[in-house]
Amino acid sequence: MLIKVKKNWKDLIDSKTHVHGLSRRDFIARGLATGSVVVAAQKLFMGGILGKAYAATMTCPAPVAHPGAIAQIFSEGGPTMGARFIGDAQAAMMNSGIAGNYGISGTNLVQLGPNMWIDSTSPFGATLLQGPPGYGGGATPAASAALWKTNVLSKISGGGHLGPFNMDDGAGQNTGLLGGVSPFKQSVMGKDLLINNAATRASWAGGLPGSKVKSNPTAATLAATAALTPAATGLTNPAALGAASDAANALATAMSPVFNNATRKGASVAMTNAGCAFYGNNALVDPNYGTSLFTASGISALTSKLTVATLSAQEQALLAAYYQSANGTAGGIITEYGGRDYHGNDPITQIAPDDIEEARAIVMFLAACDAAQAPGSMIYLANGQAIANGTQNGTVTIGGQQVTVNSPVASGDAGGAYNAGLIIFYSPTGSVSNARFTGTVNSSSGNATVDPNISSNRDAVAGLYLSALAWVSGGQVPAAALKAM
Amino acid sequence: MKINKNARKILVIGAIAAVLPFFQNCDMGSPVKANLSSNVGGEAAAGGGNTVQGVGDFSMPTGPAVISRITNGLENAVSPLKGNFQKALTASGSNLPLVTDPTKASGFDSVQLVVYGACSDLTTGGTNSIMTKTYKVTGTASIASNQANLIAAGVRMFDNYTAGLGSQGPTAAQVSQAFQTLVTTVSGTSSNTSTIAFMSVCIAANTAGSSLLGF
Repeated sequence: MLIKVKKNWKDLIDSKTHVHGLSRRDFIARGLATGSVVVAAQKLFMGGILGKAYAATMTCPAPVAHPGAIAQIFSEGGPTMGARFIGDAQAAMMNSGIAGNYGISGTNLVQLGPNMWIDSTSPFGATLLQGPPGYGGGATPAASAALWKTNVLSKISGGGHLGPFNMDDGAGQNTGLLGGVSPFKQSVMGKDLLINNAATRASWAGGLPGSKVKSNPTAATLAATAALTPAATGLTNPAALGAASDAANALATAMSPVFNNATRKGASVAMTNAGCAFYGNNALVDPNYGTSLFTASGISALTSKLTVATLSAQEQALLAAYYQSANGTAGGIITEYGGRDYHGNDPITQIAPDDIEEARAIVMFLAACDAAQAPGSMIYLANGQAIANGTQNGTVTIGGQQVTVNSPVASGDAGGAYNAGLIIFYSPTGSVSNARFTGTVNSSSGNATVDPNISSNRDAVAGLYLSALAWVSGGQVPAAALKAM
Repeated sequence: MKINKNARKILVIGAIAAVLPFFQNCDMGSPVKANLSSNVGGEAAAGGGNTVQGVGDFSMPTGPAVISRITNGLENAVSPLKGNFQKALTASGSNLPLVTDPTKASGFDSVQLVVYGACSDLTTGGTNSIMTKTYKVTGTASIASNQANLIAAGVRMFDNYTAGLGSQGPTAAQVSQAFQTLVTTVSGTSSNTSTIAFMSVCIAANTAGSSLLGF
């Protein structure tokens, strides 16, 4: 039961809290309390704001190396793509007409893994099957090749998009066929290596971090991407550079309340991302850092797997670069091979060496993944396609060995014929993916028709890169990559 | 053929979806769909639930702005067209941030590399170097004897990025203390020279000024 008592102003007179009853002592006491609050409020409120601002700059995640190699080979021009990889469907429907158009014998097909076939007598196929020199400690080249096939080639699979790159060389050259994976693929260096990249990059890849290597790669040219300019001697050292990074962050923290960063959207992530990024440069101070990364002969994981010394300087550099991508030190390794406009070129003296060079690069990629025991994705495409008119038999040099091959006779540009944007997946455990090809192939001519869902080269390249990122990321497509592409 | 943005996204998703669902040993379909639903459309998460867009947001200076800021921070004593500044830009310039959205920008590490190149230009020339002539830091003298000038050099450089707030603002003491701590730390290693200390101060002031203050 609620009892209400009626009150009037007389009842309030003695109320200590009423203003009209404020005594001198009360006034002084309240003044003291107010003064205390004024002093304390700064700590209570501003302390919280500044604390948040400080926290944003003080917590840097440890550098993370995400194992998994991603690479691209872009053949600029119009090679005979049919004389490289083909898929299950193409192998199943192989006939003399298709073989002639592709520039292979068609009777020596070898399956490497799901959806991965080569002609063992083509320059490309023979190179892949030979593998790297001395692989697995094989007593003879044949023994090494056998180990290579068992331990590595059996752990790959492939897929891709048939058809979207079926333009003649000039038409398709700069349609954005070069991609990138940094920062979507996190790495210690935080950037891709862009080797001989001259063609236009994909629109989504234009702003991605990468260091250009403008000549054929060597250990020295790659090492330059991981070094200070000028050299650090007499100017700084890892500790001094680290202290400078600390001071830079302290300065930003000091100015944070001045610029009201605590309430500015994005300030926290900006200060963390930028402030923490500096610390990765400390390693670059060591003048031997880059050299140690990209000198294959100094990497025991590689020298224990194959005979590095007999590789060319370019192959050694690529091997080391792929290895650093595989172990998470570098981002992607994006390589362009120019002058692959095959039509009219001599099959033995020109076409075969070019096919061998690219196949050897793929061998280096697979060997690096094997050495690092990390998954890998290799994107392999060209902007054009040369249709072939059969093959020419001849002897070529592959890895120092004389090999008789059936090299494609590239007869002319073939817009609308066979081409594909390929992707090769390597699994260190042998638990390979069962990727597929999109598009269709004419069972008579072998010509490819693009899948209607692939509207452009751009979309095809983006799809390949997202697939590559997913493969090395345990099946997860990095959200930022999906958004960017 | 022109297609709108949403149609392009659908096509790109189609391109990846065409390949991805066929990984036998990975559950590829679900992550793709999950990422699609959570990331296509809407604003970019900027941390703390905030979003990036609009007035008052923190934006990152991109490459050209970084270069201009460094040049201004060093009072036009260096040029991106010559010396080590130019060489550092050749090596790392293409990696400088290209977008202002802090949730998307990358390449901050390259800012420090470019600053390093620019700062090194101040140290050339011995007693006629800008380090000595302008900032009164003598390379052959001890760090201790240069300490006051080293701190003053850092504050002077940082002031160029903050319209003088580095030395005159409410947190001037913190700014000065940051350089004091830096110089003390560097001097703690006996083999470090005053040139190394000056480089450290220069790198700190100019990396912070060119990339950590936003705009």
